[in-house]
Parts: sequence; C-alpha cells; structure tokens
Amino acid sequence: MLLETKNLTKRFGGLTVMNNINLTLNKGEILGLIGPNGAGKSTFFNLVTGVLSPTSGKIYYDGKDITRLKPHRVAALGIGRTFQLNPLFGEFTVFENVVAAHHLHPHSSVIDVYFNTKKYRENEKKVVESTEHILELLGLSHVKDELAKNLPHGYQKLLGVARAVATQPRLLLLDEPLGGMNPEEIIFSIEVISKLQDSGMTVLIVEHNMQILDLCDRVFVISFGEKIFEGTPAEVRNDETVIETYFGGVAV
Amino acid sequence: MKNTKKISRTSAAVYIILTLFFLLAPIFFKSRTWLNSFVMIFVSVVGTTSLRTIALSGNMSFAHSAFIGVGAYTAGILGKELGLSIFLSIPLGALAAMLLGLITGWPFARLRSIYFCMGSMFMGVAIIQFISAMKITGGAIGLQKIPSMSKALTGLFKGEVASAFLDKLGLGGVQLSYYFFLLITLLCMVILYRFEHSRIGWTLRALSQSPEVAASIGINERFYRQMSVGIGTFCAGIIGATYAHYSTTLSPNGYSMGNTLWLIMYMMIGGQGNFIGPIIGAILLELINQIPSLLTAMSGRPGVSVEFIAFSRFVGRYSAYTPFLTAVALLIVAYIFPGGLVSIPSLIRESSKRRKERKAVVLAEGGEDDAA
Ligand SMILES: Nc1ncnc2c1ncn2[C@@H]1O[C@H](COP(=O)(O)OP(=O)(O)O)[C@@H](O)[C@H]1O
Ligand SMILES: [Mg+2]
Repeated sequence: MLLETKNLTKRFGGLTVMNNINLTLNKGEILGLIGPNGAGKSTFFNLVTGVLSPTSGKIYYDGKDITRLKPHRVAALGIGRTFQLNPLFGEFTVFENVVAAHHLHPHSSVIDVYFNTKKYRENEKKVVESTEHILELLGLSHVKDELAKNLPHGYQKLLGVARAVATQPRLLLLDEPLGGMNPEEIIFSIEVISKLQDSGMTVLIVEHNMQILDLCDRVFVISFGEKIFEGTPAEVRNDETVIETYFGGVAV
Repeated sequence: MKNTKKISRTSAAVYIILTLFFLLAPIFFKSRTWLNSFVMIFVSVVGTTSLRTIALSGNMSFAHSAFIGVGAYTAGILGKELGLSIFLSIPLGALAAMLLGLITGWPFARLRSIYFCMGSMFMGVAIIQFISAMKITGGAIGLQKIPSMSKALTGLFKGEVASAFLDKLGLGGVQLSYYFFLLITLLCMVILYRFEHSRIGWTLRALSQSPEVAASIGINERFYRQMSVGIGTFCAGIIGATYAHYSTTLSPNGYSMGNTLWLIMYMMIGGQGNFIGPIIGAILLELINQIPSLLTAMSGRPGVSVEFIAFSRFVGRYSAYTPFLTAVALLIVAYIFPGGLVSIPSLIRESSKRRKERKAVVLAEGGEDDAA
C-alpha cells in the first residue's frame, strides 16, 4: 500500500467537505477519484500534499504518517502533483519550468550551487538530460523555448504534468489533467499517463472526462465529501447510485 | 537556462567602465567633497542592489535602510566603546545586521504583499526608534567620534618606505578610505551577483511567480526567503558599517524609512528586472541628489565666478523639488520604458530595426512601381 487515509475529515467552519474518507492506493496502480463538482476531490489532494491540514484523521504514505507535513516535505518524500487551475512559472520558458522542477533531484547543496562546484556542474548536466527526456515524453520539445504563459491551454496542462514528473515522484496526483483539452490531446495524455504507470509510478487521477475510466485499475467515487462507491471501472458504469448522483441517471 | 546564460556584452562593458571610472576617480577628482559624493553613491548602490536581492522572491522590504543603520551603529559602537579595529568592527556590524534580519525575517517569511510591506515598514521604524532611544547610540543627536577609517588604513603603512610609497602615489588617508570603500562595494556586488545568477536566485524567482507550485516541487519557501534576507541584510550591514568608519558620525535620520523609499525608487527607475538596473538607477539618481552639495562646495573655492555662485544657490534652493522631479521620472519610466532606464538601449535597437524593415518595405514597393 502506497497511500492510505484513515477517517480523513475536513471542515471549513461548519461545512464538512470531507467526511471519514478511507482511501487506499496500491503500489503501481492507477486510481480514479471521481465525483461531481464540489465533491471534495481537490480538497483531498490538498490534504494529502499538506496544503490544507485535516480536521481529523490520518494520512499514511508508504507506512509513514505524513499528516500535517508541509507541502515541500511531502514533495521530498516522493509525492508529485498538478493543480486543477494549473498555475505555472509563467515568466519561465517551458524548458526552465521543468529545470526548476528538478529542485530535489539530483540533489545539490546550497554551497555546491553558490560556488558552482564540480558536483553541481555534473548535476546540472543530468538535469538538462532529464529535462529533455521529460519534454520528449510529454510532447513539448518543440515548444521548449516558449514562455509558459504564452502556451496554448493543452500544452500548459501537459507542462503541469511534466513539472510534477520532474520531481521524480513515486506517487503522482493529477487534478483534472484532461480539463479543457481537445480530443487529440486527450488521447495523447492518456497514453502518457499509461507510460508513466509502466515506468513504475502510482497515479491518483481526479477527472471528469469518462474516457479516463479505461485507464484506471480502480475507481473511488465521492459526493459531498462522502464515499459513495469503490470498485472497478466496469462496476462503476453499472452502479445505480453512481449513475444517479454523478451522471444524472444517464448510463455511460 | 537563465542561470548559465552568458552575461550580455553591453552589461559586461558597463560593469568594466564603471569599475575603471571609480578606480581612477581619485586621480581626477581630488577634493574630499567629490569623494564623499562617490562614497554616498557606493552606499546607495549596495543598498539598492541588496534590497533587490531580497525583493527577488517577490517581497519588497521597507526596513532595508534600518539594517544599513544597524550595521553602521554596531560597527560604530564596537569601535568607539571597545576600541575594536575596523577589520573586526565592520564584519561584526555586517553580522549584526544579518542576525537581526534573520530573526525578524523568520516570522515574516510567510507573509506576502501588503502584509509583508506593512510589517517590514513598522519593523524598520521600530529599529530606528530603538536606536534613537538608546544612550549608547547617542540617541536622537547621533553617534560621534567613531574611530576613523582613514587613520586605521594609514596606520597599516607604517615605516618610511611604505609612507614614501603612498606619497608618491598621492594616496592620503581620504584616498585610502575611498579605495577601501570601493573594495567593500565590489565585494558586495560580487557576492550578490553570484547569488542571483546561481540557481538560488532562480529558485527565488520561481517562488515569486507561484509559491504553491514552488512548494509542490519541493522548494522550502522559508529557507529560501531567509537566505535572500540573510545575504541582503549582510551586505546592507557591511556597507553601513564601512560608512560609519568613513564619516565618523552617525544620525538615526540617515536610516529612516524615507531612505528605503529612495532605494526602492532607484531600483524602479533603473529597472528592477536585472542586476544592472538598480546600479545604474542608484548611480544616476544619487549623483543628481549630490549636485547641490557638490555645487556649494565648488562655489566655496577661490576664484569662482559670481554667476557660478548664483547658479549653485539657485540649484540649492530648488533641490527641495527633487522628490517631485523623481516622481515625474518614475512616471516617465513607467509609461515609456517599463523595463527601467537600462531597457533604453534594447528599445533603441528594436526601433531602429523596425525603421530599417519599414525602409526595406518602401524600397521594395518603389521597385515594383518602377517595373510597372
Ligand atoms: N478554502 C476553502 N474554504 C472554504 N470552502 C472551501 C475551501 N476549499 C474548498 N471549499 C469547498 O469545499 C468543497 C469541495 O471543494 P473541492 O475540493 O474544490 O471540490 P472538487 O475538486 O471535487 O470540485 C466545495 O464546496 C468548496 O466550496
Ligand atoms: Mg477540483
């Protein structure tokens, strides 16, 4: 088990947006976290990555209690993420965005960096290689010198994923990676995510687009902060409650 | 990658010219008044550049002059009360400013925008009030009789051979002090330049663009902000400490928030986007600030014409308008050269390129007409 939450609960004032969620994520799988708008999916990501701290409950990553750890510490443990609204380093080029995301690996101490030691220069070479590799994988090589803020929307989404991948995560959290993409980009992204799984990453995806179901090993459905279903993609398609609350009664 | 990009040829040339100018200045500007003005420029250059280092991560500190003051007063008091040599009191002054910067910076590292501005502003005011209220600092009147740097430096060249050598070069205590000041200034510039152009500066830029993304890739916001505060206040402290031993008197007014506002102005007019901007802004504007006192000093010399004296009085009278004129300058910069004064060369280059292109189009069209 790579990630496990125990009775995870989050309240904003009187509003309970996450209620006793027990979610487990096995090594190497892709889990789809789905649910209608406002269900608490992004909140779940923010709780796991330490952006928000839970009202009660625990979060374990690889057997370690990471509840209330700061976001940069969570990242250092190997949890990479994207954001739903996808903020980027807009004034950096695509290449620079991904280089910046190699902050943790390979590790250079501040002293190495300041004095430009041999170790640092060698690390930087590795960073450049790794960056080029990641850009290739995400299909961004041809726009690598563009400023991130000038990219079309679909590329920006892919850059968000590239940045998360550059932190060399074992667990990757993707918040609506297909949002606003055109059909070709969607097919490409699904391929990429599947390649990431093949390379050994465990992936948790929040997504509205039902094409994602084909990619998932399991699906976890929440609504108003409560779990309403957990099972395989095939089961989800046939589950009455899910169809009712989520797809408005229309089977997919 | 920005951090490995070679320094542009124009900036390299400007750095070299400036360094040469200030190295050779004592040969052409022999009077103490001029050297004093240059020293004020050094303080402003280091003050502005180190302030910009702190601002790299997206937060503007309004307490920066107060940290220059902490360095100055610490060195001054250590020299005066304990009789420490300037080679000890100056680094200790720098360390004191840095330490205070780090301690006050700790809780501030999580504040953003107006919260950071107001917090740092009041922290700066508080520091100056403490200095004014204490006895050992000389209170509101100021600190006097700080051991002079000029004595300490000439003391290094004891013996007939050494002093004969200095005489031959025309280096008195004033010139030696000036060169020492220049050395400290260059040292700070190298420290700050390296900092910004290493990956650390780059990480700070990332932080300023999106703290949440920065955290998600493992950047420790507080650590990096503290690092920029530490290095920025160290340089502020060291230049203040050097100034204390240069001028031998200090007054708390010299480090009030108004002074920080000037530093910010130099930075904005010079151009905040790159390292050289605040340097150019500080040199030009501080020089303009120094004009009245330079003119007054010059008109005191024998054999100066009546017109010159009248002119110097005129300028002196109107120096009260400097803040107004500076505000106008800022407006001009904001509307016409948003990148600051240092962006002018590239703007000129671009517009001449466009003119050439237009000419080429006109010629091409003319050619077609001929053919018809
Ligand atoms: N910082 C916050 N303060 C108050 N309410 C919030 C905050 N963040 C999210 N919420 C509320 O929590 C609920 C779940 O939001 P969110 O996790 O973004 O949903 P989802 O990502 O599933 O669409 C929503 O009702 C939202 O309004
Ligand atoms: Mg969401």
